[in-house]
Amino acid sequence: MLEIKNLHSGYNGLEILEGIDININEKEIIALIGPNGAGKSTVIKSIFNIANVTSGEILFNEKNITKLKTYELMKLGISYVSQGRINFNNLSVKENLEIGNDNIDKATKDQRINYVYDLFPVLKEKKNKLAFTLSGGQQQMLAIGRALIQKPKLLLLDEPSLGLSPLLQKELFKTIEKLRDLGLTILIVEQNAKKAIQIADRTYLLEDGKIALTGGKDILKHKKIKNIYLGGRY
Amino acid sequence: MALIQIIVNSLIIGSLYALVACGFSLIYSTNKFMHFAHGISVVIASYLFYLSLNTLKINFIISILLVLILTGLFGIFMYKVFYGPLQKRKSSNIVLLIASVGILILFENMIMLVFGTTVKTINSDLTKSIEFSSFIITPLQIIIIVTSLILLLLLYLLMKKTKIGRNMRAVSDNKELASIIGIDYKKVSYYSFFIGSLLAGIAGIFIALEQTLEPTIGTNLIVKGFTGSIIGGITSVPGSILGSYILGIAENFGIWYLSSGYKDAIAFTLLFLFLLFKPHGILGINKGIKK
Ligand SMILES: Nc1ncnc2c1ncn2[C@@H]1O[C@H](COP(=O)(O)OP(=O)(O)OP(=O)(O)O)[C@@H](O)[C@H]1O
Ligand SMILES: [Mg+2]
Repeated sequence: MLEIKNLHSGYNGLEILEGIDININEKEIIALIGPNGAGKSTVIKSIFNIANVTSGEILFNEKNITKLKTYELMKLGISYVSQGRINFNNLSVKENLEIGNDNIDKATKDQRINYVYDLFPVLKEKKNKLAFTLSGGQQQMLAIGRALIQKPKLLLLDEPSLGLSPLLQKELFKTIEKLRDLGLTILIVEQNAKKAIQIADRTYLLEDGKIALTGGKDILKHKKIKNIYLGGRY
Repeated sequence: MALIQIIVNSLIIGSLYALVACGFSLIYSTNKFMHFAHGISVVIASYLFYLSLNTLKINFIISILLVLILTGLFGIFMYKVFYGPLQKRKSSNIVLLIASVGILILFENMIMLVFGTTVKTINSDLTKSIEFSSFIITPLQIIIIVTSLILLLLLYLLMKKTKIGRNMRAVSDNKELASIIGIDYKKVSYYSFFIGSLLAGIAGIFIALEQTLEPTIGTNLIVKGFTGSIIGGITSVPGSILGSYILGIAENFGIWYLSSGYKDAIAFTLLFLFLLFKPHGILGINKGIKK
């Protein structure tokens, strides 16, 4: 579904990714792990055309999407939940779900918002509250919810478990598996390598802008990954 | 002078400040730089109004509409010609602020060049005062207070109930995320400059009718509008409106108890105190932004 071929990318002249190949098949969860600053977010930003791709190409269903604009990518069915401040703090939960996605008519949008409310009932409960009053986990649900309004085929998640308690993390990973079972393809960037490897169909380990290791769940046993665990999380 | 007269006077001047301040704060919150040249939109509007009404003898209502549209477009022009290119070169907000002061002075001088420095007045029946038992007011002043309140309410509804308003609040809240989800923040900037300048234009027309025309009123008004914004909270449009009325009240009580010479001193004292002790203002608490 998504093919990244020999991708070189970075930020105004600064090369971060030095030739990356990633392959994602339909209805897979692909995990991208690696230490801070490895370039994980840059991979996702390159797909979403926010980072500066210098060479290589990105194909989505065989179509070259390397130079497409944000809204064109969204129309094709790619949604992105970024890392950091992921919601509009001073907009209500409902407004956070309504905003953007301008290519969708109101009736369809309302229907999809209700679908998100079914998936995350707590959002419905708090629909008129401002987003900053939500807990960390609810914030993640809201951001994922907004990404789902586009009815994406491919969902890019950048460290969704960041700042969540272990219990909420567990719930979040369950949700992600559920989304996959509903037919979504998901690329997830995670610091929590163990959890990510466990739910992913395949995992890529990124180090210093290069893919250092790739494999299925069995890479948990790999020396490199084990070393990581000696230090706990990355 | 009775208390009620002070309050009436406060409302009149507060309304003018509020019209300037809300646009200033709208532009600040969506663009994150201080557009001090906003003051010149007031002046442009008052001179265009004079030109249209007195020189070209265009009908009163049509003149107003024409001037407001042109002033709004002038706002977009300032953004496109001056700020846009600077932003493209990733200039800091301090550079943009300095540029804005430059633009203010540039246009002030251009207006002096074109219209001369002689004081101009527009005669209007609306300025004949009506005497009530405890206060005096002119029909124009009633119009100023009422239309300002209506316009400010409309602005509030625009921000809260329409898509463009929601997008403006979103960009003001989190510009990076806004662009990730496909909001065109250039368009949002254009809208904020158009609407903000148009509101300043209304203040310009009122001032042209109420007082005499002078190129320098822009500087005076933007300083007051800025003060109102700081008092109420520069990131909050309702806050800046509230702050403007508070400033109007403070000034008028000052005039009454001290003398009219202290008007500006009061404004600057308030500005200074708020910058020092409550820089986010009364309402601009920046809810939810943990820095
Ligand atoms: N907008 C930017 N401009 C310039 N350099 C950047 C920018 N964003 C990231 N970088 C740099 O690119 C490198 C990779 O950053 P990236 O965000 O991709 O890392 P990451 O693997 O996602 O790290 P983390 O786990 O901390 O999120 C870092 O050295 C960072 O300093
Ligand atoms: Mg990252």
